[in-house]
Amino acid sequence: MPSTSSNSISVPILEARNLGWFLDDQHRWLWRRIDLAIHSDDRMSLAGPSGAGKSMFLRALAFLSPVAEGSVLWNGMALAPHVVPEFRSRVCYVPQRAMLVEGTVGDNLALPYQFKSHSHQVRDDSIWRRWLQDLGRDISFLDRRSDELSGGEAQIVALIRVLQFRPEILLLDEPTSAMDPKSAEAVESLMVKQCDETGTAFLWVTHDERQAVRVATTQLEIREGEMREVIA
Amino acid sequence: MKTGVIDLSILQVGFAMLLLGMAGLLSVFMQLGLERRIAWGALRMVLQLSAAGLLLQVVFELRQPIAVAGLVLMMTLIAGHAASRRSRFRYPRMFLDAFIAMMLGSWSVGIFLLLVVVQATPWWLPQYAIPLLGMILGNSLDGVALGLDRLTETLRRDRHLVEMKLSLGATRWEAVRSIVQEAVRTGMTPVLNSMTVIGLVSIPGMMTGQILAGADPVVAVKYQIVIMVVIASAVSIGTMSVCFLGYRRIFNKFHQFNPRLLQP
Repeated sequence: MPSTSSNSISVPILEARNLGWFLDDQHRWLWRRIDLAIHSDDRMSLAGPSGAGKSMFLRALAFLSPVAEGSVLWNGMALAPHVVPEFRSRVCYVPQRAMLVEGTVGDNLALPYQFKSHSHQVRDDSIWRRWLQDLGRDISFLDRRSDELSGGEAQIVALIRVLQFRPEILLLDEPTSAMDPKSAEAVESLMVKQCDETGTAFLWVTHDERQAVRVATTQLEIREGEMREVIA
Repeated sequence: MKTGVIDLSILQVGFAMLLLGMAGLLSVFMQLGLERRIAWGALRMVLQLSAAGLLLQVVFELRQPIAVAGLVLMMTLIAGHAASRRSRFRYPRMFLDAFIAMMLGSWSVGIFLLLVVVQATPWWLPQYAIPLLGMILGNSLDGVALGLDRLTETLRRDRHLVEMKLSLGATRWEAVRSIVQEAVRTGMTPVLNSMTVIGLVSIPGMMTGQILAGADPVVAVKYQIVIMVVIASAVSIGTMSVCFLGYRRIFNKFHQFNPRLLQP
């Protein structure tokens, strides 16, 4: 069972217990008996061959899909139906293919404020501008239409969209996969810096071993239906 | 009721059928390939209407509230089935949702109409209850079917967007509100459209029927106004209900979205 050494005594923010994902159409377990605890400040990477179920694992952790077996605990508690939206506003899943609504980049960054779970947050456009600047994009980027963005640019928008809320945990599914190396590097350092500042933990799916080494202190792998820690 | 109605002989009905025969011939001639569907549709129509006529005759003569209720229930079941069949994407128990929605919309409005507006004695008199309910159900069938079709199709098409909103902390309702609104609007468009052209372009079937049966056009108009209001209400209630019920099936209480329930 992979767990982090530093503060495993305290209650983890997010805990997966005996999680199992069953593929109904193939009558087999995609993965099973996975235990994982994520504490604040944890830096985890997740690797594994395509089709091993890495995305499904993130989706199960974000409580987006029902699992066949096991449970997900948030601060030691099972999730009651009415807390799920709030949970997802604090434990943010970012899919590999960034989904944006119609409208501008600014509209997309403002989107979550429409939801009750974020309505108490105060919108701060200056953060958007600062981060976009850090990523080498000027302010006019906010007025670009979402359907004109490249895949990498859309990923940037999707990341800033969740990062602005200082989430407790980020569940990132190959967040820089569609970016050119320079952008990927800039995003990577922004993410790490921001997470350091706010204590945000992350579980970062990546196929790039060097990226995993750069961003994570714990490297995990899903292979043949099981999760284990990779010791370098 | 019988005064002023010119009965049609079987031969006269047969003449009318000849028109359809011409349409069939045209289809053969122009190689449209529609002749089988025309023939099949005509056959079904004749059989269904004949059966309905016989059944109505029986129920009219029985004058039993239970017989009226039974017939209306059967009509509602058939309408629910037809509405769920028309959707391109289907989910388990879709029929049940369509049936419940149709019942909520049509029965509430229909009973109100019979009790408050028509005021026949007894209020469930089959001569009034059944044709009026039939008309209400037939129209709300369109609304419910269109609404369901749009709802399921859009949910299927925009499933990644819906999921994105959920992952950003939206409740299931926040994630689908715009889709449900659009589905309800789609379901209600035909009835709203027909209200704007009624009397200008189209003389509705019920009014036509009444005038042919010798009723005063003013009386026919009054009935028609009532009917239009009632239909619009029934369509609204039915379409909103079915969209609401449908969305509750495709999302569970944990605000999880299961687009795999939607199968073509």
